[in-house]
Amino acid sequence: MMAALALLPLIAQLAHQPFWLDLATRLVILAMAAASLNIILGLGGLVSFGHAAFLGIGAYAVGIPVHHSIYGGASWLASDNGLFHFALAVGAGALFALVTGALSLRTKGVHFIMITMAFGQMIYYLLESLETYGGNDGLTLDVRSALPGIDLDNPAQLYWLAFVILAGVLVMTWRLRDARFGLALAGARENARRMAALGHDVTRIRLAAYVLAGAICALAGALMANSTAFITPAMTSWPRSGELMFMVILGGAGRILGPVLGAGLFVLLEEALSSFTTYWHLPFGLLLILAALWQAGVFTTRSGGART
Amino acid sequence: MNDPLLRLDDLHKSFGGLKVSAGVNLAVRAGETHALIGPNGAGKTTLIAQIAGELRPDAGKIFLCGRDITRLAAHKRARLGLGRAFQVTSPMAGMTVLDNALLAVMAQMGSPLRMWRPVRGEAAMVEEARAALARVGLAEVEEEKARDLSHGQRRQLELAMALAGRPRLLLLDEPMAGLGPRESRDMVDLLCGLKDHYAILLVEHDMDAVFALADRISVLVAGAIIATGTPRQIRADAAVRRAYLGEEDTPC
Ligand SMILES: Nc1ncnc2c1ncn2[C@@H]1O[C@H](COP(=O)(O)OP(=O)(O)O)[C@@H](O)[C@H]1O
Ligand SMILES: [Mg+2]
Repeated sequence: MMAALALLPLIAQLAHQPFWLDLATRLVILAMAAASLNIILGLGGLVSFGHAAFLGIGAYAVGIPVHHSIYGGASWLASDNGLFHFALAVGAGALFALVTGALSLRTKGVHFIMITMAFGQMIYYLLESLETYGGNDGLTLDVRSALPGIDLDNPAQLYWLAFVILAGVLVMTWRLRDARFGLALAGARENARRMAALGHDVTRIRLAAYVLAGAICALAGALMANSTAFITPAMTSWPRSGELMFMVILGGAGRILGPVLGAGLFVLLEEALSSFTTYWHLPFGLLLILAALWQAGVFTTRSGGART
Repeated sequence: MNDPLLRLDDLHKSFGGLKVSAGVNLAVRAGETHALIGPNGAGKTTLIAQIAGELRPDAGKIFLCGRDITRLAAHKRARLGLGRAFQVTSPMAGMTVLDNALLAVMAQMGSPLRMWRPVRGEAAMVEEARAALARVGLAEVEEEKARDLSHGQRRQLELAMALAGRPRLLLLDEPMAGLGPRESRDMVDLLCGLKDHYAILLVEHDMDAVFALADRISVLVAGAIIATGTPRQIRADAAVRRAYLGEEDTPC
């Protein structure tokens, strides 16, 4: 699967189907976001329903500096330097995860789902209120992030960059799953009370996963901004978070390549349904909500502590 | 004067109107096996939960080696040397026996945030986890899922996990519960072997086991300690006989 993805720009070019490359870029970036969610949802068993907020944070970490570099103002922030954009995305994503994670990880089960969703919506309304950056209408990226040696205006190069980062994220997930961190996360997922009795600081372990996932997802958001060259607050709304959950669950929560499979199915389904009917959002939304509810149900029986 | 290893100072705890700890005073000395007995519902498990830090007492203090740990979080107490085996066995059911033991060792061995090196490649940790499993006789089944073990094996795993953290004080809540006569005898032998190496606070209903293992016994009835003494003194205590030992033939 990864090999096919690696060769995709060549295939698209040979087949004269540049549209395939667009789809594949979307797939790879969504897979990266889903892979980050897989760390908390799959490995950690925590149903976070606000993950799309990090996509938005990463996207605006590109959009806002670019906006100022062209239209002036906020000179401390104005920049078209991609390294700055990506660092800002990762930093802001990690910071937002640290603060909101520290608060939401005090709660459990359905409460955790609700509070993470609330924090996600908070970002949505915050971005919507920023009139300078287009408010509800969003922001067009007049230039893409400038990187040394890579031209993001070239779709194939953008694709390669996203693909390499995705591969890195997957390798990292694979390594950390089998390392101390993954074992501790799994232990906390199975039985947090027992973990504490053993001497593990469960909240700290989960917070570390939350921050890592937030940073990775924000990076995916920064790539997404470069890919679409247009960003809106809607990227962060709760249905987008639901879609990320859907991808993780569909691909198999906790499986290393699951997010890629899930994102692939998602992108194909999205294409198929939208070609059938312009009202594809409705059946699609219903599907997503069903998947989310299913996972929430599994979560509550898993953490209900009724096991002996 | 030497501080006892664990000291409970006038602990009070109520659930609504129900007093489960009504001024408990108790000391566990270094090296001793101290049994806590009492009828069902006397508040033994609740007391262990307060010592382990899972429940906060309403009033009173808990000292470990002279240090006030009353407000300390459970995981910090575990790192100070409290090893707990639960009455209701609760290993990480979906994980292997070895992973369960590894988690116990890891809790005492520094950072769980290492993200690159496979745990199974950390020789010192794996060795220590295997040693704990071997101590309780589970070496053979280390790659089985905890949920696939027999009830007796799960009790052994529970004990291995408490041991793997190298505790200063073992809190054992009814380690014999639900075991058949043979398994019970094995468990008593196992605890006999441990008692020279650890201080143990042992909650147990099986009187033969208690009298075989305990250096001292405290009797908890309705949330209060009504007697503390050597097994011989407790056997002879009239109040204890009335309140508790007389009912020996009714199953708890
Ligand atoms: N979380 C709780 N909420 C309310 N009542 C409880 C709770 N835990 C225990 N109890 C009650 O407290 C009493 C003591 O329970 P416990 O400490 O488990 O007794 P023991 O272990 O001595 O059999 C029992 O009557 C029990 O029903
Ligand atoms: Mg009990």
